Amino acid sequence: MSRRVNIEKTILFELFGISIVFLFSCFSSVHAQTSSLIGEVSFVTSQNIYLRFQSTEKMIKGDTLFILDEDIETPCLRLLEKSSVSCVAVRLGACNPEKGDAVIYRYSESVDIENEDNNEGLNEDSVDENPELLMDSRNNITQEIDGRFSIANYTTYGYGDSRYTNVARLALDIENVAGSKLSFESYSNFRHDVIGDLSVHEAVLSYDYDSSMTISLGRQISRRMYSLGATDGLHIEKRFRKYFVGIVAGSNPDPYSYSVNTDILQYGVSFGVFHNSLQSSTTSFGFVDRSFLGSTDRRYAFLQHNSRIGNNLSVYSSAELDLYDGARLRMLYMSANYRASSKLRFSASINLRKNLILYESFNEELESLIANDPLKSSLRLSLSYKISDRLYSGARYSLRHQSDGNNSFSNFSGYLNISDFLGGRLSNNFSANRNEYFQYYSVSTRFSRRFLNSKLTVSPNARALRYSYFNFDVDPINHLYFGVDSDYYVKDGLTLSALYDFSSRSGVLFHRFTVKIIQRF
Amino acid sequence: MWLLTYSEDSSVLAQTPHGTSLSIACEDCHNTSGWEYIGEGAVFKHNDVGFDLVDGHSYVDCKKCHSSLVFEEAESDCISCHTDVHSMSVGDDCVRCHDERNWLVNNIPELHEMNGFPLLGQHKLAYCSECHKSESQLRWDWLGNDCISCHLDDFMTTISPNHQLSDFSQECADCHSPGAESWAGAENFHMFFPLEGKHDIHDCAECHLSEDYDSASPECVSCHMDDFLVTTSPNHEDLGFGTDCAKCHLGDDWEPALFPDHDMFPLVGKHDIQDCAACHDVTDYSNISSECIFCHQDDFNNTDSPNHVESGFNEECVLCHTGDTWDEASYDLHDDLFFPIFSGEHEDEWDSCNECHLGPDYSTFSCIDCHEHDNPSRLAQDHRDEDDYVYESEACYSCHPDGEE
Repeated sequence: MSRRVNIEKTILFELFGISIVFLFSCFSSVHAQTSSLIGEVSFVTSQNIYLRFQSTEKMIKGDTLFILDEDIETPCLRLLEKSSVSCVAVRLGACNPEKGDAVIYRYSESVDIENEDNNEGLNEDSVDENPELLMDSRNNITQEIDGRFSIANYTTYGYGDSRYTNVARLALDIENVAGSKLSFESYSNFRHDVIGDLSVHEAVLSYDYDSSMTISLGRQISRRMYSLGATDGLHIEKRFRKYFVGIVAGSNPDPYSYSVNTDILQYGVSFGVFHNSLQSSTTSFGFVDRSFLGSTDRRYAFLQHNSRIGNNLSVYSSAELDLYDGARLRMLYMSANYRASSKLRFSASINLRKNLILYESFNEELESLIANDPLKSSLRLSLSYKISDRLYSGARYSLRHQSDGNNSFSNFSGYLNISDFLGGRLSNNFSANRNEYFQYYSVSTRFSRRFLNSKLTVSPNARALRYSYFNFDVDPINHLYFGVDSDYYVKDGLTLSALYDFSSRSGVLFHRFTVKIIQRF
Repeated sequence: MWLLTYSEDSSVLAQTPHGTSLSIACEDCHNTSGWEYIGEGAVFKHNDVGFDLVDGHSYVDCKKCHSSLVFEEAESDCISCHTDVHSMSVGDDCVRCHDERNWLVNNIPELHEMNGFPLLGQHKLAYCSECHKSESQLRWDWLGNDCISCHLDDFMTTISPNHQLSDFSQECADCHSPGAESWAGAENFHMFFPLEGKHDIHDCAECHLSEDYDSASPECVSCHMDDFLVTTSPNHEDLGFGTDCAKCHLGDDWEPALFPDHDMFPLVGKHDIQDCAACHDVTDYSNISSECIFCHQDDFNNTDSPNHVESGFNEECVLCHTGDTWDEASYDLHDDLFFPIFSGEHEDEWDSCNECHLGPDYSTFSCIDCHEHDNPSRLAQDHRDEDDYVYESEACYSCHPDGEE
């Protein structure tokens, strides 16, 4: 491409660095502060003292509780058990509280200095007994960090040559940073093979303006229009009970480097409806306009829907209709999953695709893109059936077709898994496949067993494939794989994984090694 | 502890925060210490509701999926909890590629097999990014399994031979095996013209004299015209042989050669011989006639039963010898040329030639040795009106040339 936009990689590294700095700043702006909860004695027995609080969420078993003895806090009880609002405690020494006495529980709480004022309105008294509200209130005020850092090495050796790929990924989600209305979400991927490539898929700071509106800034993948991918810029969503409106404005990541490219401006608007109280089922539709250096690159309407019909049928669909240079269905995906019973499930999906045409960015390839624009389609059907508590079975069928007759493919596969086999799990698979050049069959078996208190999982496996070429006369070719992979959960979210397998085909050996380190936090 | 029931009228049910579908006893998950979930001691197993909590899912805080205490409200489809970083390029069914252990996939070969492109040969060593070129590295655009969608550049830039100039097919697998180690020496290479035997050569330039490999004709003579012209045994040019060498030369070498189109003289039956010299003067293949007698004069001369020479037989052997052997002879022309024995009075009256032809000279015959004519006096009496009657076979024939009375 003559117009290839060469945005400095440093921008990506800066963005990645900002994510890290932001993460640390979240922690650095936090300090410890002592708070207290006040409850009362609700019942007294010879062994235990029963207490009642508005909420026991912050209470920890084994901690000490105090009573006021002539206005002096005196250690009196030790916390044994707790429920959401009630506790069971035992006496410490000669302390002997009576029903109705006030009890004090002191604890240290991390508080964001900058947002401390915002938290003042949130006290224990404001928490309703309603469990849903209780949960909501917890989500609103408590910082929650969920993240994953993983590094992996994939190495393949064969024909006297070796290839390796190193991958590092960081997924970080901080909800209600330091108890504030700010949240941060990021997902970055660094891949190094021939060259190194850092891709920031998401790095977005969100602010809950109120319970019905969220404003986000940064690179974000819109949950309301997944097919759009990420957009760098401003994202606003306003919710009105069952309905919502979304706006996105900014730039599209560079199609070659995936860096920020302000030459590719993009804006869109979406409208939608929630189908359940959790707002996890939605239908959204909208319009997106994308331009390159002021000229329209793409303009389309989209529709995305997911919902559950009754208790057992869930559906998902996504569609894009190009509106530039005529109407053209660019993509339609629909899937349905039906749970006929706790043992039997069906699923089906269809997928229709045409080329993604960017009229300005791909200007030089436009002619060939338009000329070579077959409709690609696929159909997938599957069912799974739990034969017994130990036996699981299933079958799948998929078919691919292209309107110009190329790239046809069909696949039929089945599996039978035994969940309790020699102390482990045995999985057996079969597949029959046919593409343009050959048909091939695959049979595989895999045995997984856990050791060391389920911390270590070891899975030896074997697979055999048999290929028969259509267009030249050779005997069917057999391809064999043997390998083992293992996962070891060390502790505190740290998992080590390793895989080795080798394959043999007509005496040629290939070796494959994969090592992963995954830290959840 | 409450025992929950399905009945909506139940006062007990009204106290549960877990919705109407969860029909298990409270103590399956809670104990008298409080309403905290008791964890490992719980009777309730998550896989009872058709969603096994294994590996990664077993580490997740319940609230990540169950944002309310009505557990049934949590969706079981992946995309309800997990962000689609693939821009809806692969649908919503994460488990087609991922498992619960982590998002980094192990089963890369299997995934390719399930999608119509098994990783064979050099493809096993390929970097993902060599084929999957989406900008985000995570959008898996539909590539298909046709080679050219990835190898168009290879096709366009190859100069030995120049694929584009040579108008080669863009179906790479017509020549190159997807499972080969390299483009060259692939198992399926040159299958349109098998490089076997003497053609098992590795220097393309021996046949392809220019970059335009399409200019090389698959016709043998395009390379072997010199061989054709200089061959003297037989002299292909003088004899007007065709230039489709493979019609005769089927083996790994020029010799031995067959001549399957020996149409001027079909090589069947006893003539199905492989040694040309049995008939041809190998110094001059043109010095031959398709007349039988050209080769079989000795047979003709030496045959004594009947003696073909003395009998004055026609040298057109096929007049009598129509089968695969000499013995399978018949002489259907006897009626027309000499005497009707396959029709008329003598039809079915004889079993062998020597009933009439008493000697090796078939030009002689006997009528009077037949049992009907072996009484001279009776025959003389019968011919008393014939002036020149004689009791001789030649005389019989002269008056009764068709055997009729």
